[in-house]
Amino acid sequence: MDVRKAFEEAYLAHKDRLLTLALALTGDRNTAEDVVHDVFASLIKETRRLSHRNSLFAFLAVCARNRAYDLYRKTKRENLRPVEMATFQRNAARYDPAQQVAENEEKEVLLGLVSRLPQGLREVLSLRIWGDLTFEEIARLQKIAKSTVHAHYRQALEKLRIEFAKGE
Amino acid sequence: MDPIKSEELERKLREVRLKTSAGLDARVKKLGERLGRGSRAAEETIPRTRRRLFPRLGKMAGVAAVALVVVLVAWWLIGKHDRPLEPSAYAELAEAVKNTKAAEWVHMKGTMYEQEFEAWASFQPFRALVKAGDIVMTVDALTHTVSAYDAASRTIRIDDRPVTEDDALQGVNSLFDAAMKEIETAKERGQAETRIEEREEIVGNKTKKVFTITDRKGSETRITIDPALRRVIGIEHTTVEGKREVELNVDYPETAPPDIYALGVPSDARVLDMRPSVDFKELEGKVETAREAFGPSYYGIVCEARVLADGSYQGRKISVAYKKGPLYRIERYSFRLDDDSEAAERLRQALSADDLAALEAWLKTRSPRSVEFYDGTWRTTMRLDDQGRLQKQKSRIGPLNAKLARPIEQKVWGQPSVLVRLLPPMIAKSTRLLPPKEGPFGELLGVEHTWQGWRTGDRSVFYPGRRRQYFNPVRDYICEDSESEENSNADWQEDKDLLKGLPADARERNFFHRQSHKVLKYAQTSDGQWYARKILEEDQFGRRKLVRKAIFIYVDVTRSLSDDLMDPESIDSPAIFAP
Repeated sequence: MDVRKAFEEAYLAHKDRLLTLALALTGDRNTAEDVVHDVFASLIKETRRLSHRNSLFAFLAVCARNRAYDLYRKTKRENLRPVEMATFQRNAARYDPAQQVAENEEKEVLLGLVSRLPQGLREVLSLRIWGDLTFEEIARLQKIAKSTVHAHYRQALEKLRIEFAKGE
Repeated sequence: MDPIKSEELERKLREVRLKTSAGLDARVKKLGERLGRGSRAAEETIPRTRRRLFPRLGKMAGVAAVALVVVLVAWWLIGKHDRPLEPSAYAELAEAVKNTKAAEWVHMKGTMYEQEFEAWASFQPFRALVKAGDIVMTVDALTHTVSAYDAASRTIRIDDRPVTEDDALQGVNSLFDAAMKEIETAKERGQAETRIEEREEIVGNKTKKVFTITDRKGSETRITIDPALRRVIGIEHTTVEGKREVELNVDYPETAPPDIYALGVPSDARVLDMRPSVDFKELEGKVETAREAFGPSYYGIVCEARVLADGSYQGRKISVAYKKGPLYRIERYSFRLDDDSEAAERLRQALSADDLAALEAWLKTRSPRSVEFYDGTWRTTMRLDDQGRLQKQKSRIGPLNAKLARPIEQKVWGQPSVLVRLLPPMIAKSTRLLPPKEGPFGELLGVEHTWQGWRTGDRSVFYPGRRRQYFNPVRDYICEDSESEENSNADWQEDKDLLKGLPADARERNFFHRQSHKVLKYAQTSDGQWYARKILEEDQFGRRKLVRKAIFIYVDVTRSLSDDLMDPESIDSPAIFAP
């Protein structure tokens, strides 16, 4: 197997889907690109994964989730100390990445709404929709019950449905 | 707009696909080139390593097994194995954690979240000097003074804001608190959920006791105690994933460095003193006193409605609040009604006629989505889960969160001024009194806050902002008029240096968000307290249309509220909630 060729093919095949997943998870385009970069950097250390084409995307999706989660925790630690939480929650509610990218396209509005979901719900929805992980895989990853994952997924969709219908 | 179906939404979401930028493609291509250089090695490393390892594995396993038996026997014989905690040891551990905070000064040094950390703290009253990575800060809870040095701009910013121990010590204090909570849990319920083990270690001629607390999720806090001092001398925290987040040694010096300069801050660093003036604090104090004095017992309704183009109202959210002394019960209703439905029409009529009785009658036909109880320390939220079962969540709240959760006070007096001053020390804030201005209900006293933009870690940007609030002194200092704006260009920011924290790319995004609030009508409770009866709120996000909301508030201080009503335990059936 030509590893370099396989790596390039893997990048071309999965880059857009992975970027969408990363943006949904992080809510910021620059950070999402960093996540995708880091995921492929970690793939270099695990080139044997390249030979498992069927499961490669699931591996990349899990890496993206873990990297995004690390960043989330780091950001939370750096900036969201308890006493400041209220202010940041207020600000996070206003934060709208869709605004920053392009305003009127529905897909970005949708991603903007996803990025405003609470972290737990956002992660389940993103991993299911763009990460193509099964509920069981998400449950294992998050160390929670499968039924909870189901519930989070439904809750996330319901919240999105309401927000989307507002048309704001 | 008709509500979208879940299946359609899922389909739309799946169709969302972004394109990577040329910059990212180039960066990843470079990564691939690294592979190209070592592709042969990368291809062959695994099988070659395996070939070398497999024949030796059997031999290695045998040696390891013998070694393990020897170590276990030795460990057992010398009695230094971890063992379940003796009941008397609970007290020893709890006492040591308490004693630590009673010391004149506690000095902690080590690593915290992958960066070097050193702090001196004194807890009564709370003072601390902290060096964490690039940040150097000193805090004094008595004077509410926080000084923070930013090495990048060689600037010391001095702020006036409430300080908590967690805030200053980056969670060390929470770690102690969490450890104490786990100890209590283990003491009450045995070690089924929380496992606590202890062992003794001898270093030199000193004996140390190490307590390892493993919570039910698997994260581990290790507290080392000096039995002679009866104080903590080390603390470590390892996450479920095995990542060591905190590793600190603790000692107890008699004194601490005198000021921020003693922690290595250059003496010629620029000083930005952001503390508000005495006049400002006096006005802020009056507003807060009025906010806190509202009540002390009431029943109230806050109804949020969108103002439609024809001037009619579309009710969206209603909160029903009960206050009895320090206790609050808040019932939250949210709904989407078809505009032509009978329910929507009746609500519209009740709001247009400003008719409390009609609004209450309408509410009786609905059920709340959740009910929250606040007792000053705890928030208990009751709602239904997806299976329709009653769900109860209890969480500790800070005083500020409790303040923000009160729907009536929040709308009438606006967000507390101190909120802006609570922004992280890295974000410079400024405050000033505005010249008085004439409002429809008398002269208004104004304050202004501005804050700088800042990249908040890797994830997002905190935009520069300005908030102006005008309070009416003859109406119990109610916030009659306010306007806040977050703007990536912030032309009004007088000190352009404050914009330097905002990355250039963020400034180019033309982020703009403006909110305003105007009291249109006042009312008085039967005991003479003023409150805003009707407020107009406007919200504009970038180029999106302006959203106008009317807030209707009704307060009755004469109703008697039973103790049962304020007790979370009184809700034991899911029947009162909306599905």
